[in-house]
Amino acid sequence: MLVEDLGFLGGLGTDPNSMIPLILLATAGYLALARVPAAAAQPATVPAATAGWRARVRAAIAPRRLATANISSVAAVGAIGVIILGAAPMAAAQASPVADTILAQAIDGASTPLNGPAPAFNLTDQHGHDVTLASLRGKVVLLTFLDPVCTSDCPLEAQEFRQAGQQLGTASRRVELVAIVANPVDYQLGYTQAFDRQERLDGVPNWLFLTGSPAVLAQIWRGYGIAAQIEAAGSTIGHTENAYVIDPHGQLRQEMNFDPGPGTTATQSSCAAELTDAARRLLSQS
Amino acid sequence: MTQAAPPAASLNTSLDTTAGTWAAVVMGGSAAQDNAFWQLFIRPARSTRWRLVTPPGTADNGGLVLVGGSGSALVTGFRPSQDLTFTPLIQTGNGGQAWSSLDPLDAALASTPDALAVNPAGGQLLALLTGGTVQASAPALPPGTRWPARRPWPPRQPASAAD
Repeated sequence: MLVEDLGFLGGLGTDPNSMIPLILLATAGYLALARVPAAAAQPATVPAATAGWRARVRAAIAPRRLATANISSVAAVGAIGVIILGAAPMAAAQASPVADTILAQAIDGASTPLNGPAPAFNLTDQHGHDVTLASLRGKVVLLTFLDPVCTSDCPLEAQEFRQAGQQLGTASRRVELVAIVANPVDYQLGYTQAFDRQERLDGVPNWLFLTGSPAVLAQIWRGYGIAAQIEAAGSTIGHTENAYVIDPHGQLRQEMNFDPGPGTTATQSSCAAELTDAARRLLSQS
Repeated sequence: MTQAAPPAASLNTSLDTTAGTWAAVVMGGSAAQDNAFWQLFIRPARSTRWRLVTPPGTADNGGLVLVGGSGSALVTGFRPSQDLTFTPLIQTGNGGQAWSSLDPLDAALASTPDALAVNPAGGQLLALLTGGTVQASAPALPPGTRWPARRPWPPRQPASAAD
């Protein structure tokens, strides 16, 4: 029960990768901190006249002490090795400015391949123009759902989209970067426009931040499996952080978990690299 | 064994209107940045009970700024926090039972309870921003809403020795 239900030491049943190092660390820590039992550490008091006994007892105990010390040392070195093996790649990733899809997948898991028609929508862009999914045929559509008054993840996700557009270079002319509002309260045009100015997206030619009435938005959220709900008073909206890749024929081809992850240069642009790769693959097929 | 005293909630703003009394309260326990959150309460006229009516949909870690109108009307500004840099605005016409968003301000409201006011002549909102400038906007306030004249901001009194 400790292991399976309570995740004791990481939970061997579900995560051997974390449990084994934790067991090693716990063992090493115990051996390092535990004192050698008094009886073994110190021989019984003997009269001064029997000094020969002392020498014999010491001689008998010494190998045991050495063995205990060796086990402690080996376990401690092993534990340090485990820490270095785990920490070194993370430290390297923190310092690296290079975006990599492997980083994005390490944070969010591999994307899910899909093959079916993308749910249609008819919404209003940040300039007040009507936009339908059908009107975007012929282009790859990178789609996500953002809360314009979000204080944390959505601004980061918007930047991933902006970077994806930059990484695509001239190919971005054949790609549309699309976000749909994921807030049933602050969904008005003024909010999409304010968000675009905040995120410097107002100058990105292929960026669309779409909105509609709460009823229309809710229908689209359902179609794409997005949950957007009002949390407790004073909280931001809770919503699914997914991105979708739609091919030029309007077919859903990929679903990505889109949590931006920890805030390093590499991880913050790695979702962008994943989006870019997906768009390039589809463009090369069309 | 001594028990730690419960953290005290801090009243930031209270407004008396004909509909009752509004109170914005700062909550949250530690001094960590963005760890405070704000709640809005109303005690309707002739009632002894406070009701939680914090507007939904927006994180309010940066603070709430209130301006009251006639009857049960109230406009609330959410001071931005974390990565949000503009100021969402929301209004109620029925004592906080239902809220609807107004166009946001494109800048951060000043951190003062009087940072929002309504021009009684034109009905526009006047907002004091963090840079010290005042921005007038024309949000779609409820038709027929009468907004009370606000006293001019008093000149700041020099702090006394007892302060």
